[in-house]
Amino acid sequence: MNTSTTTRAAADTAACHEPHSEPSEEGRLRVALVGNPNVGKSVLFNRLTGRYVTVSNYPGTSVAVTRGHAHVGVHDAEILDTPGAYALVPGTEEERVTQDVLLDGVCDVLVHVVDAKNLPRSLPFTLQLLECGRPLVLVLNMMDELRSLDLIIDVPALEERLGIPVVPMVAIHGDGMEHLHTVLSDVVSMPVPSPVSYGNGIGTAMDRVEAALQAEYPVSTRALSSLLLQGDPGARERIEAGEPDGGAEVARVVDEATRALGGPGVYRTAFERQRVASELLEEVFRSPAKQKKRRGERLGRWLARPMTGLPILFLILYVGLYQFVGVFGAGTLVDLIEGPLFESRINPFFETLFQGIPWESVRGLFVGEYGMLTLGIRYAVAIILPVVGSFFLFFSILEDSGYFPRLALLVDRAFKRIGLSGRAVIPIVLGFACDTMATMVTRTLETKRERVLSTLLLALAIPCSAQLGVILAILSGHGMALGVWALSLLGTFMVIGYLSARLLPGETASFHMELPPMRLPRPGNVMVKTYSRMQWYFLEVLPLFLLASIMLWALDLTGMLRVVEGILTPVVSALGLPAETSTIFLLGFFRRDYGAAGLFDLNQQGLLDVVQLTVAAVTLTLFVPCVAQFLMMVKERGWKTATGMFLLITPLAFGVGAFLNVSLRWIGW
Amino acid sequence: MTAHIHRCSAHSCPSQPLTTLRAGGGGIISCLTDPELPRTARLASLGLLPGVEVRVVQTYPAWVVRLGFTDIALDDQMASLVRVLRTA
Ligand SMILES: Nc1nc2c(ncn2[C@@H]2O[C@H](COP(=O)(O)OP(=O)(O)OP(=O)(O)O)[C@@H](O)[C@H]2O)c(=O)[nH]1
Ligand SMILES: [Mg+2]
Repeated sequence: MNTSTTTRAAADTAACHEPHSEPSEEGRLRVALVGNPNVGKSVLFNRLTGRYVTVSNYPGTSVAVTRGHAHVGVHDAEILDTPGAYALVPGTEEERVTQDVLLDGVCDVLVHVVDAKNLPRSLPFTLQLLECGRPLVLVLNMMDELRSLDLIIDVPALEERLGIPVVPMVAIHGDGMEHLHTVLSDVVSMPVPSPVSYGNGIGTAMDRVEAALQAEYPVSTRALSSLLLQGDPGARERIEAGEPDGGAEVARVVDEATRALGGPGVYRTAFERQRVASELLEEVFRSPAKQKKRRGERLGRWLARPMTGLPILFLILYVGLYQFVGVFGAGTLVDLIEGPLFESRINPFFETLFQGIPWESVRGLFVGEYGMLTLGIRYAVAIILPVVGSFFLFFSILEDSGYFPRLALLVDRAFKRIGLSGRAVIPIVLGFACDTMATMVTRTLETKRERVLSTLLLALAIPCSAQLGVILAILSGHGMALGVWALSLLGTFMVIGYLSARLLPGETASFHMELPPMRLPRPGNVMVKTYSRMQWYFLEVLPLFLLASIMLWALDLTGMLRVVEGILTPVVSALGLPAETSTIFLLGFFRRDYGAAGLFDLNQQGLLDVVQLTVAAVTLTLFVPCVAQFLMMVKERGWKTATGMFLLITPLAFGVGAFLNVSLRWIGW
Repeated sequence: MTAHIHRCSAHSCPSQPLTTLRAGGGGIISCLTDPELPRTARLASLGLLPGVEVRVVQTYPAWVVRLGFTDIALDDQMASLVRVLRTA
C-alpha cells in the first residue's frame, strides 16, 4: 500500500487502492515521458531509443504517443513519448491522448520532463503526477539555458523535499543521460512516492472523494479523486464505467466536496498546488535580482510586431519559398535531374531494357506515356523529390527557430475573422509541408469548431509542398499569373473561412500560446528531420504513384481513358482548358502533387497559354485533397464530415476555376 | 498573500484588468475573473495564478506577458480575465 502518513493521516481507509495495472508483456518496464509542451521530451526519447521522432521549437509538435525500446540497466524498457500537456485535465485532444496514457495505466514509471528555468511553473504538474501512485523521476532539462540565465537549482534539496530522484539534463547534448539510466534501472525497487499534503480544504476534499471510490482502477484513487474534484470528464467516464452504482454515489460526494470548497475545483486545486509548489521551491530555486537579457530576445520581438513582423514575413516567403523552393528546388534542381538524368539516361535505358517484350501493351505498363518507370518513377524522383526536399529543408529551419508561435500571435486577429484563433496557424503552415500530417495536428486546437474549420481550409486552399513547389516553378516565368494564383487561393481561404465561420455554430476560440525562446536551429536536427520526412514522403508517395500509373495504363489499354476523358471534357472545357488536361485532374485525384507534376509536363510541351496555366493551377490546388489526406480527414473528423467537405470542395474548385477563366479572358489577358 | 479567486467584482477589489497595463508595466496577479470556466482553468494551468508576478511585454496584436522566464501570448479576451495589483 502506498500509505503516506503525511497526506492521509486521517483518511487512510480501505478505500485507498494501489493502482492496478496490467503487467506489461514479457515483463518489460514501461516508461512514459510526460511534461509541458516543448520541453524536450522528444529529444530525450530519441536519445533513449535511438529512433527519431520529430523535434521542433514550438508547443504541440508531438500529437500522438510514440513507442520505442531502450535498455536501462538490467531492464529491457519500452519508452513512450507523449504529447505535451499543461495539466492532467486536458484542454485539447492531444492532451487527452496523454491523459489516457496516465489513466489507463499503460506505464510503470513516469518521467516528468521540465524546462529547468520554468521549474516554478512546472512543479504543480509534478505534484499532480505524484498523486498517480507510480514511481516518478523529475528530469530538469535545458540546464544549459538555466545556467546562461544565472539561475541556480539546489538539486539535492529538491530531491529531498519531493522524495523522488531528480536528474539535471541537457538533452540536446546528452548530458545527464548516464544519471537517468542509473536512476531508471533501480526505480522499480523504489517505493511509490507519497503525494504532498494540501491545505485549504483541498486535501480533505480529496480524502472524502477517495473514500467513496470502491472499484479498482489502473491509476491511483488519489489521482482519480483529484481529477474528479477538478471536474474532469475523462475521470468521470472511468468512474461511471467502474463503480458498481454507475458512479452516482461518487458524483454526489464530489458535488458535496466541491461545494464545501466554495468555488470551482479546478481553480481551487490549481491555486493550492501553486502555493505548495512555491513553498517547496523556497531556497531551492534561486534567481538573480535582475533578469539577464536572453540571446534572440530582440529578434523574437521584431518577429511578433506588425511593423517589423509583416515585412519579415514577406521576406521569408520571397527568399525561402519563392527563390529557394520555387526557383532553385523546383527549377534548377528539377532541370538537373529531369533532363540529363531521366530524359537522356534513365528513360532510354528502361526503354531498351523492355524492348525485348514483344507486346506493345505490356511494354506500356513499364515504359511509355503512362509507364510505371517512365512516368511514375520519373514524377516521383525527378520532379517531386527535389521539390519536397528543398521545401522540408527550408521549413525545418523555420520550425526550429521558434518563428511559428510568433507568427501565430501576429495573425491571431486576422484569423479570428475566419473563425480560427492564432493557434490554427501551426496546422495551417504545416499544411504547406503536408496536408495529411497537418490534418492530424489540428488536434492541438481547443474547440471542435476550430478543428472542423481548419480541416476544411487545409483540404481546400492549402497546397502541399510538392504541389506548391511545382506550381511555383511553372508560374515563376509569369509574375502576373503567380500573383493571380496566390490571390485566388488567399481569397478563397478568406471567403470560405469567413462564410463557414458564420454558418458553423459555436463561438470563436480564444487564443493563448507559450512563446518559446528563439533558438539557433541545430544543423543535425534540421538534416535528420528533412531526411526522415523525405524518406517518409517518398515511401508514402511511390506506391501511390505506381498505382496511379498502372490505373492509367489499364484505362488507356481498355479504352476507358477515352470514356473518362469524355466525361471530364465538358468540365475541362468550361475551364477553357484543352482536353489533354482531363488526365491531370484524374491524376490530381490520386495525389495533389501527381496532378501538379502532370501540369508541369503539359506546360513543358507548350500546350497551355498563360490563362490556361493559371486556371489549371488554381483549380488543381483547390480541387480535392489527395487520398491520404482524405483518409486522415475521415479518421480525425469522421465519415460524414469528411464526405461533406469533399462534396463541397469539388464543385467549388471548378466553380472558382471557371469564374477565373471567364474574368481573365474578359479583362483581355 | 491571500488571494481571492472567482468572485471578484470590480467594486470591492483594488486590482485592475491586465489589459489596462501598458507594455513595460507589471503587477501581481490578484485574481482571475470567471465568466467562463474552461478559459480560466487554462490560464491557471499556464501558471497565471493569484500571487504570481507578471510583466507586460507587448500589447498588440496580442498580449504578451512574461512570468518567470516564459513569455505567453494571450488575446484580449483571455488577458482581460486576469486582474493584477499594479507594481510598475
Ligand atoms: N537549449 C536546449 N534546447 C533543448 C534542450 N532539449 C530540447 N531542446 C529544444 O527544445 C525544443 C523542443 O524539443 P522537443 O523535444 O520537440 O520538445 P517536446 O517536449 O517533445 O515538445 P512537444 O512534442 O511539443 O510536447 C527543440 O527546439 C529542442 O532543440 C536542451 O537541453 N537545451
Ligand atoms: Mg515531442
